[in-house]
Amino acid sequence: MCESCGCGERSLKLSVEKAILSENERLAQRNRKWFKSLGLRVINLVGSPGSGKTSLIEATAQRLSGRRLAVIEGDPETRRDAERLQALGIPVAAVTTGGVCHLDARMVHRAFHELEPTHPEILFIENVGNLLCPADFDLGEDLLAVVLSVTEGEDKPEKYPQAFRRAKALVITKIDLLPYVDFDLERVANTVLKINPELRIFPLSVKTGEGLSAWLEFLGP
Amino acid sequence: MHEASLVSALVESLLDLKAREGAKKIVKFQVAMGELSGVDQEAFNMAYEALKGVVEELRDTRMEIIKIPARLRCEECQREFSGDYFSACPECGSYIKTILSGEELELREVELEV
Repeated sequence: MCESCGCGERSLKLSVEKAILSENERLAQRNRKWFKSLGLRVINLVGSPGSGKTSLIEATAQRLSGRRLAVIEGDPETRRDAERLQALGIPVAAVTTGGVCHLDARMVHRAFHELEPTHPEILFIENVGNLLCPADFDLGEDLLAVVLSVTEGEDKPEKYPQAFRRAKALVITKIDLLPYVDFDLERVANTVLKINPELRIFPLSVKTGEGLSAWLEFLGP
Repeated sequence: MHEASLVSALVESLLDLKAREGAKKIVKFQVAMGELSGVDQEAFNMAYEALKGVVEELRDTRMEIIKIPARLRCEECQREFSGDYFSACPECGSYIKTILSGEELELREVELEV
C-alpha cells in the first residue's frame, strides 16, 4: 500500500483458507476422543421446537432400563425440559444458551464435566429447538439424529436440507396423528433419501409405543 | 440467526491474526461462502456491520464475499456435476454423491497493514 511513499507502512497478504468454524471443529474432535475413551455413545438430537425431542428421550430412557443414561439439555432461556427429565431420575446438565440458537462443542464440553461422575453409557444431547443452525455445529457426537414430527408439515426436509444431509438417523414422531394431518411418510422418505441415501428412518409414536422398538434396537445393545 | 455466531468466530480469527502478525490494521479480508452453506448472506452482512460498530479494529476493514458454486460427484459412476442436495447424477441417476465444493464457509485472504 504505502511502499513508495516512505511512511514505512506495508501491507501483508495472508492466505488463510481456514474454516470459520474450525475452532468448534477442533473442540468437537477433542470431545469425541474424550467420549470414546469412556466408551460413551453420544446422540445429538436436533429438531424444531415441539418436534418431540424431550418426549423421545423420556420414552427411550424408560425402555432402556439397566443402561445408564445422561442428558445435556440445551434451552435458550429456561430449565423446563431439564426438570422434566430429572423427574425421571436421569442425570441432566442444563445449558441455557442465553438466546443463542444452537449448542456448540465448548458448551457440551463444560456440561459433560458435570455428568462424568455419573458414569453414563449413553449421552443424549438435546439441542436447542431449531432445525437450521445446530446442524452446523459438530459437538463430538457419534450420531446426529433429526427429530421431525408429522404435525410440522412434510416440506421441512426441502426447507432445511443441511440437517438431513449430515444426520445418520431421522426420527419421525407423533405418527399416531397421521390420520389427521397432511403428512405423507413415503413422500418425506423419498425426499430425505435424495438428500442422504444412507439416512435411517424411524417413524414412531411415544404415545402408542409404535415403532419404538426399531429405534431402541438401532441405538444398540 | 446463527450468522451472528459465525461472524463472531470470524472476527475472533481476524483479531488473532492481527495480534500474531503484530499488524496495525486489518485492511481487507475475503470470505468464501458456498451456495450450500446455508448461510444467509444478508444476515451475515448485517451481523458483520453490527460487530464492526463495536470492534475498534474493524472500523476501516473491508469484507469481500466470494460465492462458491456447488460441485458434486456421483459415487456410483464418478461423474462430476453441478446441482444441490436434492440432485441425482445426470449420468446414472444415483443420489449417492459427495459434495466437492459449495459447503464451505472460510476465511480466505487477509490483508494487513504492518
